[in-house]
Parts: sequence; C-alpha cells; structure tokens
Amino acid sequence: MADKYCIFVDVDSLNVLYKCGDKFVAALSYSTSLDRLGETLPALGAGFDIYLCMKPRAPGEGDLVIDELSITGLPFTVDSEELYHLLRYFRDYQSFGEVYLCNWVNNYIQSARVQTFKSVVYYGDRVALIGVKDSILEEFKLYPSQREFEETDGRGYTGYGDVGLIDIDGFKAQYPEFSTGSKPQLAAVAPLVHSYRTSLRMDTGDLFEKLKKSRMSGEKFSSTFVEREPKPVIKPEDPGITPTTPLPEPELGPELSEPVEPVRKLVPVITKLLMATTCILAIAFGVCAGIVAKDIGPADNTSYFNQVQSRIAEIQEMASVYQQALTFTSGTSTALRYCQDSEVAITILGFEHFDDQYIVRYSCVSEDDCQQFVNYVSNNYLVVGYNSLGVAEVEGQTVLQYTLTFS
Amino acid sequence: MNKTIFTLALSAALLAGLLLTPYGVQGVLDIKSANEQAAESRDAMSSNLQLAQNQAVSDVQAFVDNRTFGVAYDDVTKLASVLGSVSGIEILNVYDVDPSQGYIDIGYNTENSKPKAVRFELSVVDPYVALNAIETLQLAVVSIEYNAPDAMDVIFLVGGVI
Repeated sequence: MADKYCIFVDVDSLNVLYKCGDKFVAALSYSTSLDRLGETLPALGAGFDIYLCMKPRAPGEGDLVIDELSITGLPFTVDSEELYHLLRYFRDYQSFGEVYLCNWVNNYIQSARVQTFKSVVYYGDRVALIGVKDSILEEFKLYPSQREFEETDGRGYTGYGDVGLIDIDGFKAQYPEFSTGSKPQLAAVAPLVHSYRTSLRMDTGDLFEKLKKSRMSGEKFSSTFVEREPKPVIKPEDPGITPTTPLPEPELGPELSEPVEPVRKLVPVITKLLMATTCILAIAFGVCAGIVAKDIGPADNTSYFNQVQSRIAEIQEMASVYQQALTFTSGTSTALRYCQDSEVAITILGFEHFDDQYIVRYSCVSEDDCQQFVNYVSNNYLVVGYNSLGVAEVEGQTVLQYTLTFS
Repeated sequence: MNKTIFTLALSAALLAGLLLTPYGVQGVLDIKSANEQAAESRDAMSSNLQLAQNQAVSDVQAFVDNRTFGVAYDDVTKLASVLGSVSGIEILNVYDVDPSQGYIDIGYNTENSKPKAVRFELSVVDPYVALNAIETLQLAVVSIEYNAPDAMDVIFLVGGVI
C-alpha cells in the first residue's frame, strides 16, 4: 500500500502542502487556479487526509462559533454556509480519508520562535495586528488596509510580516526537505506544517453532517450557533475592525464563493437605469405616435366624394336617357314643328334638343319679332331664357340673331 | 422603485408623450371623430352609388323590353345601315363619344370599338323625315341637333350605363 498522503490547505491563500509518509514532498500555490487543485486531488489515487487551515472571522462576522478550535481572545467564528460548501468541496472526492479543520491563527502563533511578540499579517485583503504574550493571544485587530494601520496604530512599527518570527534554521533542521526553501516560502507553509502536529484540530465528519441536516431542515443546530450581530457602523476615525468590510474569503471557485459584492450592488443600479430608459422610450414612443397621428390626419374624402358624386350624376343622367328614349325624338319633332309653325317673321337657323330642354337659334329683322316669337313659344313651353347673338348680314339685309331656350 | 410606482411612471410618461406632440390628444381625438364621420359618409355614398346603378340597370331593362324595333339599340353598324338606307338621309360619319366628358368625340366608330355612346353625323333633306326615322329606330337618344338647312347630329347610348 502506498504511503498515506496528507494534504494541508491554507483556505485563505490556497497554498497547499503535500506530505507523503514522513516527508513533505511538495508545496504548491493554487491561488490562481482552484480547478487545478480539483484535478490534482483525485489524481493522487490513494486515500489522503486533508487539513484545512482556516483563519477565523472577526467576532460578529460569522454565525457559527466552533469552540473546539477557539483560542483565548479569539473565538473561532465562521460563516456556516461558507464552511458547509468548503467541506462539501473536499469531501466530495472519493479517496479522502479524514478532513480536519485547523485554526490558522493558533498555528501561526505556535510556529513563532518567540512567545511574546506583535505581528502584522495579511488577513485576506485586510491586515491584522496580532499581539501575543506568552503564546497567548492578547490583541487582535483588523484594519482595512496597511495604510490604515500605519496612519493609526502603526506609527513607528517595524515588525511587518512574519518572516522573522519563524525559526527558519530550526525548521530546516527538523524538516530537511525544506532546506532549499526561502524564508518567505517557509514562513507561508509553517502554519500548515503545524497543522499536522497541533492538537487544536477538529475532525469535520460530525460537523459536516450537522451542517447538512441544518440546511435541509432550515434550523440552526446546537449551541455553537450564535446570532449574527448587526454590523457596527465604523466611524472614520476608528481604524480597527471594520465589520462593514466583509472578511476576505478564500477564493474557492465559483461554486463555493458567494457572489461578488460589487456585482450585487450593481444589480439595483442597472435595474433603475433600465426603468429610467423604459420611461424615456415611452415618452419618445408617445411623441412619435402623436406625430404619426398628426401626419396621417383626418382622411381626405373630398376627392373620393367628388368622384363618386360625378359617377352617380353620370349614371342618373344616362338612366334618364333610357327612361325617355322612346318619346325623346317625337318631342324634338313636335317642338321643332311648333317653332316653324310660328307666324312670326323669324327664320330658324338651328335647333337642339337635349335632356328636356330645347334651344332654338333663329334670326329676325326686328326686336319686336324676336319678342313676339318668345311670346309665341311661351304659350306652349316654359321659356328658360334667350340671348342675343348679335347682328348678321344676310342677302344684303341686316338681321338679329337669338337663341331661345325652353322646355 | 416598486412595480406600482414604475407602472404609474410609465403611464404618466406615455400620457406626457402624447400631450407633448404637436397635435396633442384632443387633435388625435378630433381626427378619430372626423375619420369616423368620413367613413360613414363613404358608406352612404357607396350606398347611393349602388342604388343609382341598380335604378339605371332597371331603366335599361325597361327600355329594352319596350322596344319593338328589330335591330338592337346597341348594334351601331346595323342601325347606321338602316338609317342610311332611308331616302333623304345620308350618314356622313359615325363617332364614338364619351358620356363622362360631355359626349365629346373620342374617335371614329369601328367594329372593334365598344363605346357607351355614338354620334351620327347626318345630312338630311327634310329634318322631319330624319326625326321620324330616328324615332322608328327607337334609339336611346341623348341629344339631337339640327342646323339648317340639312345638317343633323344625333347622339345616342349604345353601351348601357356601367
């Protein structure tokens, strides 16, 4: 049987240390690619224990306190949802042995070569001031940034980093496989190495099952849960712990990490922008609709009406022709003969009959004759009017020409 | 912004958009009313047209039924032949005329033309003889114009009314 693997994972930095048998065989960083860790673990092909070295959240920033991992001055506070996904991620691999949870702060303190010190270390994207006296944590303060620390409590402080705290020589003597490592590299893996030998570690089997049941039932389990306290408002002059800034979480990939906060903040902004845009578009639509309606305007039926009326008049006129067709010509003959039978001295030049009107064009030598002819016609017909066409010279005689319209 | 406020804002925006138009809501409503009235007028006009057509068709049919002359009223060639055979009547020309344009000439009548009306240009010795012959033919005469001493024009329908 192959030697049992132990894998130490810094869930904050994703530095991973591999131990096979008595020796540490590899130290890799997966900070930029969690997926590669997911590919590596199953490929090991043998059972392995996993040690998850985790930095506790600041008090008030988590909903679960694990007493087994708490140290004096700093309860081991975690977010239960985050912890559940973290454990599920590693327990999903078929070949795991045990999955242990360790306290990174405790390991850091225990890895130091002195028992009393103050150190400032990166704590996610914040920095933490860790004050230790006789290996007991006495001070733990979080600052949003190193600049904040410098401007407040960090004036004159020169002990940045933890490189100097690690007993590098003793470390290399104890673990010859690290003999070629640099100080920063060894300082980074020292808390992981300590996970193997510390008693402050917790088998997560029961914890994971309780978390799973809690999620399914929707109830909090055991007394280890604490109510999430409202995050205190941080005054500008308070450079200490800033709960409003969430504790940086290890980059555990999209299926483990929570949605990124900036994106969450952007959603309502985008929604409001969309609504405002919709309102603007509605106004534009209304204006366009009105303009279109104006351009369409009332239907102009004048042309249509004139056309149809003209057509109706034409049809009615033609229909009247058919109605009186059989008597039309006889009427012409009668009227023409009536005019010619006049005893008035006139000469008929032309005769026209259309509709129910007659127009006779005639000439005479005197106006009296013309008037007498009009009177004559009016005895039998309705005279509509008569007009003078002027005078003409006929066979050396001047005559008057008229038209008489009657019906 | 909850949905109710958003809905109200959207409605107000639409209303404002309509009010901001050059024509305005009242103008649009006036247009709508005018268009409705115009549509009613068009319907009434169409109805009147249909009535006139029906009446005309009925009149034509009555005219045809009452005719007793053996040549159809729209058989221009035969009518011209018959009329030209009457002593004292000479057909000088036969024109197609357009009833919709005051019966103006639109060309000589041919066998292929399908006019609604024609004009016979006649030379007559005695107008009464000509008028008697025309009456015998039982034409749908539109007008008769006699110019002394011997010219006579007769316009009559040969193509129905539609």
